[in-house]
Amino acid sequence: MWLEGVDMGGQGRMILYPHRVLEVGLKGIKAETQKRLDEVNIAHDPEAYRKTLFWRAVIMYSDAAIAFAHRYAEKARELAKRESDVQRKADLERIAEVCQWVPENPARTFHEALQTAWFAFLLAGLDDDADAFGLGRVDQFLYPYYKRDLEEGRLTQEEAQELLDLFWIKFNEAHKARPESLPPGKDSHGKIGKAGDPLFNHMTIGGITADRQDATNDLTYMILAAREHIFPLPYPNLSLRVHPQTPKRLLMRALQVTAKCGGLPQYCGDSGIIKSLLSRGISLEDARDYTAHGCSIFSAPGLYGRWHVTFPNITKPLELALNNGVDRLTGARIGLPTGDPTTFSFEDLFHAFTKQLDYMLELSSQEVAVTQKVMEEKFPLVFTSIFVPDCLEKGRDITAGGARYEWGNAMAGMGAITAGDSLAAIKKLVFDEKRVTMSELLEALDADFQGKEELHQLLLNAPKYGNDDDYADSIVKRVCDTFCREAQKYPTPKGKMEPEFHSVTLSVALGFHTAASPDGRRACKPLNHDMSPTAGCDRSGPSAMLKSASKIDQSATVTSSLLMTADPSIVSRERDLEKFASLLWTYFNVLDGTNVQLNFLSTETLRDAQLHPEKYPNLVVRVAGFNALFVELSKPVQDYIIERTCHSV
Amino acid sequence: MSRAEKGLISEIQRYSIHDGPGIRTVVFVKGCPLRCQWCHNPESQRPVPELLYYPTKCSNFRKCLEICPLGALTEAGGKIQIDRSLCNNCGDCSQACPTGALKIVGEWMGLDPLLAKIKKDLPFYQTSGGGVTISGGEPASQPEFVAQLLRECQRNAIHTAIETCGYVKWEVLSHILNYTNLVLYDLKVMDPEKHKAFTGVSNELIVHNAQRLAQQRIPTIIRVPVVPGYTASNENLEAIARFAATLNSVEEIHLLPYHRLGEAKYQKLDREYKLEGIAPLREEELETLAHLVESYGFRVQIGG
Ligand code: SF4
Ligand code: SF4
Repeated sequence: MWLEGVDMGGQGRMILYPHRVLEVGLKGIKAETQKRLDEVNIAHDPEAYRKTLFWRAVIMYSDAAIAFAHRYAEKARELAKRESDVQRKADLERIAEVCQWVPENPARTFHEALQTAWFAFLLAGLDDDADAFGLGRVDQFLYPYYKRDLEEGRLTQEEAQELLDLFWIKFNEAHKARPESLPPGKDSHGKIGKAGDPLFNHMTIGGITADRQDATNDLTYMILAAREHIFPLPYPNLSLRVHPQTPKRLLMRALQVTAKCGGLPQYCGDSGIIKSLLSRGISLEDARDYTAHGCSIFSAPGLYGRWHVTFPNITKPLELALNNGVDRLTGARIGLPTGDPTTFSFEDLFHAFTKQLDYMLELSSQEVAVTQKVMEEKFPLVFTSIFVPDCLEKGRDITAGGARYEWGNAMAGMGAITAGDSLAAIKKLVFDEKRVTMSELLEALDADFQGKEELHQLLLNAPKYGNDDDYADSIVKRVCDTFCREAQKYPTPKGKMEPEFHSVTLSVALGFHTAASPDGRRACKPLNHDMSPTAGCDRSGPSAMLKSASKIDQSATVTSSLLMTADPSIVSRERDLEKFASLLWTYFNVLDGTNVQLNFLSTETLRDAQLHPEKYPNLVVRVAGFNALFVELSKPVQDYIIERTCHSV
Repeated sequence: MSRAEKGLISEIQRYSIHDGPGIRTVVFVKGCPLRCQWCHNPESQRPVPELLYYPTKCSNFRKCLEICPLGALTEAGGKIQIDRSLCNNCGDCSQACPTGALKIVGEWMGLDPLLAKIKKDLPFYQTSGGGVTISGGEPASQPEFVAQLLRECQRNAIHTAIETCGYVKWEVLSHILNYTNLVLYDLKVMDPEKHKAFTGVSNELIVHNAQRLAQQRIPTIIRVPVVPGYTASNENLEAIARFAATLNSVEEIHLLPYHRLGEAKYQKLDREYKLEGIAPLREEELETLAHLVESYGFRVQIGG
């Protein structure tokens, strides 16, 4: 019914804010912490015991991190000594100097700032084998260092570009061992759900400043160039924040890079995302400073992160409502007895679906609550907490509530569109037009449409979300609204569960466990992705697809991703690219859309790559909220990507 | 509502980016006085709804055979055959067809529902400088309906364009022009004999209308389908450029490269395609033609 986010070890899924460490160094952090230790008094502060433990740990971790960096320095010095090439020797000596200085001391130069950020990422990963970190708004926090170096003649733009390129390459070195196969019943969702073995690290550029000005600077463009230079290396993830003052030149440049570099950057809309964060109690200043992490999750400074994500299968409750609580694939009773569907009106059916959904969400939030408590007791994240605003001040690590904003849970609904399209098909064919009876439909679902081809065709040709057709869209919206409402009902130790529709290939994994659905999807085939239309069902062009998506109340969620595949010819000419840029601009700034992921690839290319992998060793695709080399993906994931509609001109 | 208040529409295409400025919705009206041999919208030529058959979609349920009241459908080799001499395009079979393999092209639509569809992309028109383009077929084949539609679009602050073949009575065309912001004017061949041979009609009226249009001061773009062996000669393009140079509302010429995407539609309509085997021009050949036209002082664009 749902899949779990933390069962493969590691919490992660948060933004590391290196600002403090850049400013004062770990030396400064230690000094502040020591002062707090000196001042805390258990006679006045009942929390003092716990705080003391945390602060002492911070000092120990900081020392360890400094020692870790010094080992890099030592190694570089040693290599320099043996090096005969003059240039390389000088480089190594510089590396040694930088690693000797940061993260212990405040960063003084662009190079040192980059090195500090890299260490932050590396060490946080070591904290508990986590993934999906964001390093925040890199073009913003690095800019003062870049500018000063340039002004003071320490650095040329070319040198800065090279450092950025190298920094980008580094993110492709880190890897994580994931289980090949999970216990029975889970298949290998690690492999299929996170196909291509991504680490989901994420950088964000563009957007607005705290006083609502356009934040674009030289580094914004240079980071796009870095992305281009390291292609086809797939990581890290990159998001461009779009707002009404985003320079057209920037958006067009970014789209060129996206088209050329396998779907990166992806795009996020400031308007919709900031609205969503504000409605969740984030301050205006923090909301305007939001960034992406993981595949496409949005966080503000001081937000716990989203380490605990469950991925409920929203299609499954409909299956259960249509089978009185019994799993159609296994025959096991896993849901509630909601009655005989042949006696249902459409409203009865929707009601039964809601009950099944609610039951599933309740179960999954129980699991979340237990896991959170275990994590807090057994796996405090001391080093990571240094990078999350307010933990040090409060004297608590993030798992114990140190972050400024106390919510760390998400329910990432999968298959909402499949469920919505299914309900639309039932409403149309069974209730409105009465072309099909409920029993005929159920029989066809039992048979996985074998021998029921005619009915299958009717279902496939019923109205589908993604075409700006209110018939299907309004039902999909109702499903999404219901999910968002039900998800937020459950308190957990770390705040409410927040709904989202974000993008990983778990829709393929969850599809394995889902019987045939009334939208015409066969048993065990993938569910729809995030908020994207069911593969191949958006047939009315990109503007219609975006309009459909905009009908869903995206700010009720914390992430609503939409994946669009378009033929490269749609942006091949400058004037067409400009039109595509205004299409996206409108989605974000007029329709309050929150996240778009793009693939500019023709279906023929993908088919050919599947047949002749040797010809396409470097074909990078946007799988979901992450990239991968197409030829390294498993066949079901490849098929799924191929089946998506390719919008063309 | 009487038919006069409805228009016969063969297709509505959103996010159209090659038919005028910005992001546009193109409304294809059905009915055209010309029969260009290269036409890639043959389904929009006749002014009546027509039955199309997509053999690849057909799963041979044969629902349609029982349904047709005129016995116009038969089955052979797993595929449906339409006896066009019997079929009256009533559409009963397409209603019953579960796969969409039988489809009626051409729907009589009222102004309001059509306008509602056009307005769906309003936010995209506004930010991209786009709007609506009425194409076809020939917009002037349904002059009253199209004029009303364009007027309503303008009232809703939607930029309007028409794509016309120019073979229309001037009074009819000028009525539509009252509500038109941009004209995409098709010129195919300057030689009247060849024009008649390729399109079924001579081009005097077309040429004459172009001259009258130029006096209206409505921005106009000349569009030339570049079809090898028909229109794609240096001589023809120079003749068109020379003529266009006399029209002071024209600054831009679009060369529309011939492609074969229309070919399959002829089969679906059981019609003969006369251009079989003609290869589209190569990029360089198109560039050469574009430079030639440019030398007459026009902005030239390959493709719409
Ligand atoms: S004018 Fe256009 S629609 Fe009419 S026949 Fe010629 S190409 Fe086809
Ligand atoms: S359109 Fe009408 S007449 Fe023609 S084949 Fe279909 S059912 Fe028969």
